[in-house]
Amino acid sequence: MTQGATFRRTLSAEILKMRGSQIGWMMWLGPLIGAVGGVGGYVQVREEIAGQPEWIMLYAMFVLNYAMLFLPILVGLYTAMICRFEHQSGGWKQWLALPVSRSAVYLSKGLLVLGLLLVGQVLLLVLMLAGGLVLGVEGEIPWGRLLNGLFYGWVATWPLAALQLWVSTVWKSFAAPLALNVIFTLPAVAIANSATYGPWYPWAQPLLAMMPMEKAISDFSQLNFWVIVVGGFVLLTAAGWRHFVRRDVA
Amino acid sequence: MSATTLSGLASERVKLTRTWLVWLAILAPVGIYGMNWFNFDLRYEYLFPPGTDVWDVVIRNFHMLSSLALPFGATLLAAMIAGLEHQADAWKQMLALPVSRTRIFFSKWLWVAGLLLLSSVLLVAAMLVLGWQFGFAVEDGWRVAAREGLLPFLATLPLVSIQLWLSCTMRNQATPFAVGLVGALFAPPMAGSMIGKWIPYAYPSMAFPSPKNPFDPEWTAWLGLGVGLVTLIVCALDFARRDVR
Repeated sequence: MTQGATFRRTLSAEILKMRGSQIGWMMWLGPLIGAVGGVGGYVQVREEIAGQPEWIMLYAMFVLNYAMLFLPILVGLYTAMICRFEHQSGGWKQWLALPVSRSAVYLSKGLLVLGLLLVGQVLLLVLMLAGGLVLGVEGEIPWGRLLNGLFYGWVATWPLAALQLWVSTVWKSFAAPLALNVIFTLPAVAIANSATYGPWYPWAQPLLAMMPMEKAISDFSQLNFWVIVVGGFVLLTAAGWRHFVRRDVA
Repeated sequence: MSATTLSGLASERVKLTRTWLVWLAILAPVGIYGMNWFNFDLRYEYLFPPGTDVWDVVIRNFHMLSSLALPFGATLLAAMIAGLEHQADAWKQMLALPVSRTRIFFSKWLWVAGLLLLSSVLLVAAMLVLGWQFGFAVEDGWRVAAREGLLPFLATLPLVSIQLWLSCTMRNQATPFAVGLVGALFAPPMAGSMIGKWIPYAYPSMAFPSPKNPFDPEWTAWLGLGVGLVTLIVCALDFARRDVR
């Protein structure tokens, strides 16, 4: 079998395993919370922001509620859930005893996490449009800015996803990677405010990428920010992948 | 405390030595201290204009993080302490021992609550040290810092029972985690609504010992202690009559 064919098969096996888990409804959880917080926040500030482009304001309220805390935590929840099956009762041994390469196993898990995160961004967009229609938000929908923000926000979750996938494959405990992730997510709001450190901090990167400010990434040029994001993603993926291929599984 | 309770606690301790739960309890307050050092240093002029009640500002900034960290801490510690048994398929073995199941639940509860208490005590120290570093009089601050350490801790006790019960009865820790997460994030709007403020997830944020808090922090803490003990008993009894896989 060619490399490509094994990879496709491991990926479809991962998707099958995922169907048996609770990821189906968890996927809605984050965007729904973002939507509830976003709609609530928008209603509160509606008077004050009269005259501003309404769709952008709605988008900002959604993003603030979603990307500040929930999105980074969701990344860790996905990676932990995607490795849970293997950590239980010797699943890794069974999986890796099959004629599949470890690289294919690791990379298909990673790809699945990125896919789930992309679906989350699409759900957020759908809920945002629904929320805007229900609230009667005026003006033309700024498709370009909404789609850009959501797409780049998705890319900015990659480094964190790579890190959490690495940790989730190594640690047997389901809660340990989640704990790590929550601890580093809590200060993300403060760190995102810092022009020097924010762009380097994987838990703040999604918020920085999604906020609709003119100078969202403060003193950093856009290019530098994306170099850090993509560079971090490549490094963390390479490190986690290499570790997974070489280590003993228990 | 009877001998079996003590040995239950001791056996939990042995299991915990291989994990970093204790580190989690120590590092969380250290992290909150670090964040606030950064925060105070960065915007000292804005936070402490002349004539402010400085300690009120200190506890407010700590409470913003600790009111999230306590429910998250209860969620994570409960998930980790129950996860030890789920992972090793150890429930059956442990419950086959001549120890009552309620005792096992109690000793796990005491560990989670004890670790949160440790975090809260360290948090009090962190507030005082940070205040002292910025030149505030510690003799004026220790009382309010101690209240900010103790009252939200008591208000978190119901969550210890609920999260531990969820984590012990469910094999998949994703659900208890999601419940704890959503509960903690929705605490402010819950506290603001008529019915929502009775939901235990709202208590930690309501137990804020500042004159600017619209809720009575002492009353909330007593409510937390009462509801915490009642839910502990209910959850332990339910845990005792469940089938284990």
